[in-house]
Amino acid sequence: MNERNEPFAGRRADRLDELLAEPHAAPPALTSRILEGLPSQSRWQRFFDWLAPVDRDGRLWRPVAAALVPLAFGFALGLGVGVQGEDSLYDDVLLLAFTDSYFETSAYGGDGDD
Amino acid sequence: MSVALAIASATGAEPLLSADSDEALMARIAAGDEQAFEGLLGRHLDRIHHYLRRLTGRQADCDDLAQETFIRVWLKARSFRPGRVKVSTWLHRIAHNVAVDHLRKAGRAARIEATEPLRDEAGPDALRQQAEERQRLHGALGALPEGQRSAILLRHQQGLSNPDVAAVLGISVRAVESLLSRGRRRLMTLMGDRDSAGNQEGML
Repeated sequence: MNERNEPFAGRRADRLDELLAEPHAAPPALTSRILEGLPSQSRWQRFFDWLAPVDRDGRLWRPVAAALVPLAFGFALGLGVGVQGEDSLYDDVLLLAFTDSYFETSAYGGDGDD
Repeated sequence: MSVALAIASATGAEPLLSADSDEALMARIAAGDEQAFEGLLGRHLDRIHHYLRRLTGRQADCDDLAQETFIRVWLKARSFRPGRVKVSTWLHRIAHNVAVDHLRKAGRAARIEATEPLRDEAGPDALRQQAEERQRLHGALGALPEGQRSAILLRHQQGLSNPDVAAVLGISVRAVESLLSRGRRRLMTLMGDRDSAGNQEGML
């Protein structure tokens, strides 16, 4: 039974291959439609393509680096504010100490009863 | 007009598009060269359109999907890495993703048009028979699961190698072989069933 069907199945398989491999043409107007609809390759688009490419092999550092930028900025900002705050506090303490001792030793100091 | 074309016309030199490899065209497309894009379109549009036509089963859809595919190619040209993957494989991968996204969004992966308009209906019997065969193939392909249909189309219609099919579908070569084997067997069965059903209808 199978042997009898084999040539028939073989012919059908060949015919299937022929049908699948038949040439095909896209509608002629489609080419011009695609060309007319092309968006501009904006700088933002290029940047995002660079940042997150379709093929990400070996380029995971790009989004990671981009995520680290605001983090680093935050660290820098935080450190800067901290140092500046301590300096100004130190200055204020010095000023207060100086003013206090000035009034204590000054001829105009005291309660003025003498 | 593209920069390349403007330079070519100003210098009197013909841009050697036909001699350029796909990879060279891709490099020019990445730099925004529309003429190179037109060259790539001319080389691959028919194949990609054919693949989308058979995969989605709708003429109107596949025109839109082909357009979306090539717009993605235009926008993503910079991400193409020559040497890692062939241009044709990369194009097919984009087209496949576009089609699968579309089918999932539309929720009609299995609802492919059961029939394809018969061409040359008024022609001789041989032409009519060929048209009916095409229609049977179309219907049988529509009845296959999406994975088997994609694998069969990429391998037997588009002529990609098994590793390239695997790269397009994002699966192993062994899985591709399995899909091809099962899909082809099922396709033959479906076409056989439709043959006999057609014959029975003809006899009735």
